Amino acid sequence: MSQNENLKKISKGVSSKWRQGAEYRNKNRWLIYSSKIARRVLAAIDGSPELNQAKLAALLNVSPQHISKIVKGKENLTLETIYNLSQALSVELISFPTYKWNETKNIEITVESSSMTVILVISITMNITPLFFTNNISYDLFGGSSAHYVLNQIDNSYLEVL
Amino acid sequence: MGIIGIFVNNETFEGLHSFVYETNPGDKNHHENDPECEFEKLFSQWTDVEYVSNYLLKNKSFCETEYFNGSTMDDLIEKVLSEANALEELIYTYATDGNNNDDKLQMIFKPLHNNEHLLPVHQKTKAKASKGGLLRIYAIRLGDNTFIVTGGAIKLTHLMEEHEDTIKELEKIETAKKYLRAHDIQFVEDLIYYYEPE
Repeated sequence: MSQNENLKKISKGVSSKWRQGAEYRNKNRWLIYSSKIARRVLAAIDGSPELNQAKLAALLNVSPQHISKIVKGKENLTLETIYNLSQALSVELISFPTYKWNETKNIEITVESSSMTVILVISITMNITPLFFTNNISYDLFGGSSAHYVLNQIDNSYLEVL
Repeated sequence: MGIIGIFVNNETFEGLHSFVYETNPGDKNHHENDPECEFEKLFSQWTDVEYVSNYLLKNKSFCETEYFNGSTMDDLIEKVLSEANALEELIYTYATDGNNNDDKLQMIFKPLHNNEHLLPVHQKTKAKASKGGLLRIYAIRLGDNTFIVTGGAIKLTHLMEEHEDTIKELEKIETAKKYLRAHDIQFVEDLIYYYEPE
């Protein structure tokens, strides 16, 4: 059967596989993550004299086809694979954003002296759950003596400028 | 070279079709008895991070012009991937819901040349995700709801004549028009005889 006859045979009705591909891409939104990792892997290999896809496959003890799928951004990677890739490339491939237990809080403290009023904004990173942290006691914990110290410094430089 | 359906009304043959070009065994995109049409190939490529990265790296000098306003390589890769996603979703939504509404494919495929007010036979058209977008699907219009895709490109220059790949796309459109003329395909109805000859 010639290619043209073949085409006509498959042309009746909907024949392209595009729709299945589109549905797959639409349903599997994790592909966005996969593509972000793929870019970082490709960038790490790009221009490296020691590393290419084949060598990376050997390092990770996986098939070259597996690496090919990874760099296309089409692989549903396991955490184990991401970790191993990261180690082999010496590149961080995923990062963990701040979350409520380590996010930075800004606290505003108003301190008044005889000559001026200063509003101090203090950033606090909560590495542990600060059970003691309430609006009422924050001033005492973080604002108290240090706030007055800063105010004194400002007062002095202000006077020097004058 | 031939035409296959992407999503086509089985009775009227209205819908989106695509050209498919012959490949030889050994060619990278050769699929025995299962040829990949131009339309399908575009989305395979545009959603492939390796393809997109290699293409932009190969065309680095085009990416570093004022046209891209200092965008990084990663910005451009991200732009191509997200545009591909948006364009595919636009067409998929039409393929799924379009026939239930009054929407016509000509709302997606616009004349290739801006300010074209006449409607020539085999009008050259383009589809893109958004104004200022990088991706183009090129097609020939047979009717307000019938288009045949000839190819597409990641367009990195203002004019198609400024890059070898878009020049090639212009040539493909001309070849496609010749093919349609040679097969007497001028209107949607003519596709019926093309697909199902007596």
